Amino acid sequence: MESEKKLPPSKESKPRRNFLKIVISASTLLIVGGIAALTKSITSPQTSQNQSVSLTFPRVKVAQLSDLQMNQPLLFNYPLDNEPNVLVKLGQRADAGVGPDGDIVAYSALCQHLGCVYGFQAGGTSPKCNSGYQATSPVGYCCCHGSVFDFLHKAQVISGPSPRPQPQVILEIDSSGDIYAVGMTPPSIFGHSTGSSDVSSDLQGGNPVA
Amino acid sequence: MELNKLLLCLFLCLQGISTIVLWSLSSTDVASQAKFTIFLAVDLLCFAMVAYSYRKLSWGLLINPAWILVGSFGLVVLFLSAIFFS
Amino acid sequence: MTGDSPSKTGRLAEWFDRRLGLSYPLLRPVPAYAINPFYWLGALAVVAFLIQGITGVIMMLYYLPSPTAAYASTEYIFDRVYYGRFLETVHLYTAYAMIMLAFMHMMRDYFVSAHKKPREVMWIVGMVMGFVTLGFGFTGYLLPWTVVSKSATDVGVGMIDALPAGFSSFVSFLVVGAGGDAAELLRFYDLHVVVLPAVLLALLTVKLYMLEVHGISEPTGSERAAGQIAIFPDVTIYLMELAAIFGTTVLLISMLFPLSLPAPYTPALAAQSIPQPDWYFLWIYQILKISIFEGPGLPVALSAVTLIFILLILLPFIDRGASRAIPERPIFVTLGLVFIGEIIMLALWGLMTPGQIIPLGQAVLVLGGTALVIGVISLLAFRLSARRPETVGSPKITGGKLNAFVMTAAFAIVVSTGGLAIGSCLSSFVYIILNGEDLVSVATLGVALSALAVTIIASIFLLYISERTTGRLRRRLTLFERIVRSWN
Repeated sequence: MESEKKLPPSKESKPRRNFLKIVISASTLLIVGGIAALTKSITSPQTSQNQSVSLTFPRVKVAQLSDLQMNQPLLFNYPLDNEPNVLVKLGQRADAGVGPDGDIVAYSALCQHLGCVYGFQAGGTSPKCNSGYQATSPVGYCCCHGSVFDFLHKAQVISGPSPRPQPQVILEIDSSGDIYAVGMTPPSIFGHSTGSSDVSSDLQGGNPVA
Repeated sequence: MELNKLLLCLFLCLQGISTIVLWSLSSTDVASQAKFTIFLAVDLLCFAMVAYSYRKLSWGLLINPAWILVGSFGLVVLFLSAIFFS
Repeated sequence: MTGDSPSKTGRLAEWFDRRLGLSYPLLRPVPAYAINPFYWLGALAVVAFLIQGITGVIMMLYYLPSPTAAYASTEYIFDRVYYGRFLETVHLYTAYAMIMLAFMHMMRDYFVSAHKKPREVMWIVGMVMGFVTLGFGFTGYLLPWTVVSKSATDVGVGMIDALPAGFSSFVSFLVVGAGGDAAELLRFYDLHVVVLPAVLLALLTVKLYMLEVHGISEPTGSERAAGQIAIFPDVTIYLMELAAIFGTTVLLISMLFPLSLPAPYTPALAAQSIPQPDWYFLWIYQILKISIFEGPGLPVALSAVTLIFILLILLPFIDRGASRAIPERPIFVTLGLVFIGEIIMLALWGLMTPGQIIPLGQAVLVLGGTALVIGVISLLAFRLSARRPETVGSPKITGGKLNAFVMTAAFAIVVSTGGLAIGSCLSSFVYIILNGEDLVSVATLGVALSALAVTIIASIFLLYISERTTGRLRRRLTLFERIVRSWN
């Protein structure tokens, strides 16, 4: 190879060159640090406030009175598509029940204990997962850990590990028998700031139904 | 040379400030993302100025003040638009 | 570092250097003349590719490639993911930048004859990389599953059937699979995210190896500046400087032109919209819209476009002149300029005539006219610069920095920009007088006035440079004065 003049010329003073090296290294590190702020996009995006979240509960038709049979549960999602609820016509008057007999109630189907989807047990029946237990009144029985919720009294905990009652779906029925879900009562649904007294968390963290 | 040192430190400070702002910005709302864009641009522009100065100074060449002016003008524009967006 | 006591930072730096081998002379040093942005257009395209990779991988965490979930997941990224909107916007504009940089890289290397011996294979590999980049654009465009993207892609995919039989079924299988939207989307996604990146990286490795072997092409017609600069840290820092400016530009554009997601694809909505490809395919689209290529003429059109691509790939074997200097390649430089002009003209024209068939006569007129005008100007410029006599005593320009050809071209650009600026000024002024002020027209007036100011400054500057380098103006001035004096 022919002789190559290597730049930079070494006539620059040592402290000046060191200063420059420090400066450029610091600059590079700051750039990398700035771009690394993007890693926030890899963490959970669910808990933020943004414009597409509605702050009011929608009014959604979930059932028709004439289609309901006693003690036959109906599952529906409300207010988001990852929040299942169970609606049942109990045949006896229940707290905050709607309908001509005040016996139609709906509660969140995600157990407040650990989020399992529990099932409805009419009075006198036993759940398949625990034939040793017989319900004396209409209840929700969670097969995961045995929580029992009283469907006549706002899904209060009768027994089992759940620390809180189930959230209740606020229902309205119109003159033609259409049953609408119009809101939720506290506590907030499992997985949406579970157990909070502020039900607006029920509206975040999923896609709205309809 | 003192002026150059001052300039370099100034650009580094601007970089540091914008990096801190970048990390402190909130999440998904549109205005925040616009500010993220602006401050990342500020960060990059300052780095470009520092790298340019490094290249010229470490080879014993003179920094062309025109480029410094252009870069500073760009920074001013970016900061003004940050104010506009907040 | 000879003979001085190492400071703490110096020792730390040396610790890293010894272990990471940072200053090991693995890559050949860069000659000093290559510290110039034009030599790094290809490198910036690679930087753009890296940005695409990073933003793309983050978005892959949230995107679902099925027709039912594609739009919803894209919307999710826009609305819910931290910096999702930023990621999407930067991803799109960097994609455009990558295509534009690849094109500029190609044209610049064409003009400096970097495709001649011994770099012919580098050119071919580079062209294939360019097609892969276009493929990125084509496959990525479909993924949001919006009305615009799906209908445009349908047009493109529909053209596969017009290819010759065996080829058509192979490409169709590759791209659409068993048929149906789900298979198509999944294959496009697979291509976009795995296959094309792998192919691009492989080709890049080959090209970089050849670059290492052949070195950076020397500038033509100038003395080679002595001095080689080591890759690390100086050239690396220079590349980072260019990348930072590139990044700032992309971010600026992202800020000025924020994105919003078009409507999701439904067949009903698609039937009402006119499909138009993304801007980098508009020139092909416009060719296909010429009337003689409609219907049965489509395979002919596709063959024509394929022929253009093949000619581009085989360019090193077509342009076999030994000389690399621009003033000595009038025909090929003119052809290159005509090529650029035609592509821009076709793209702009395609933008203005969405969905309209172009009558053959009009096509011939516009395309032929563009070619004619550009060709004539270019060849004239060559002629004029060749005839320039050496003036005694005028200062010599060093190197090919600003030869007469560039000067003529610069003057032409300045004059036409000035004309456009004056025209825009007048028309927006008249518009404001007639229709009152509104934001758009005032902004246009402002832009036109600034363009006019820039043109005036640029022409004064060019005149000054011309005066300094050729002294032709001085001769004209003294000639004029002599005439005036002899008259009196």
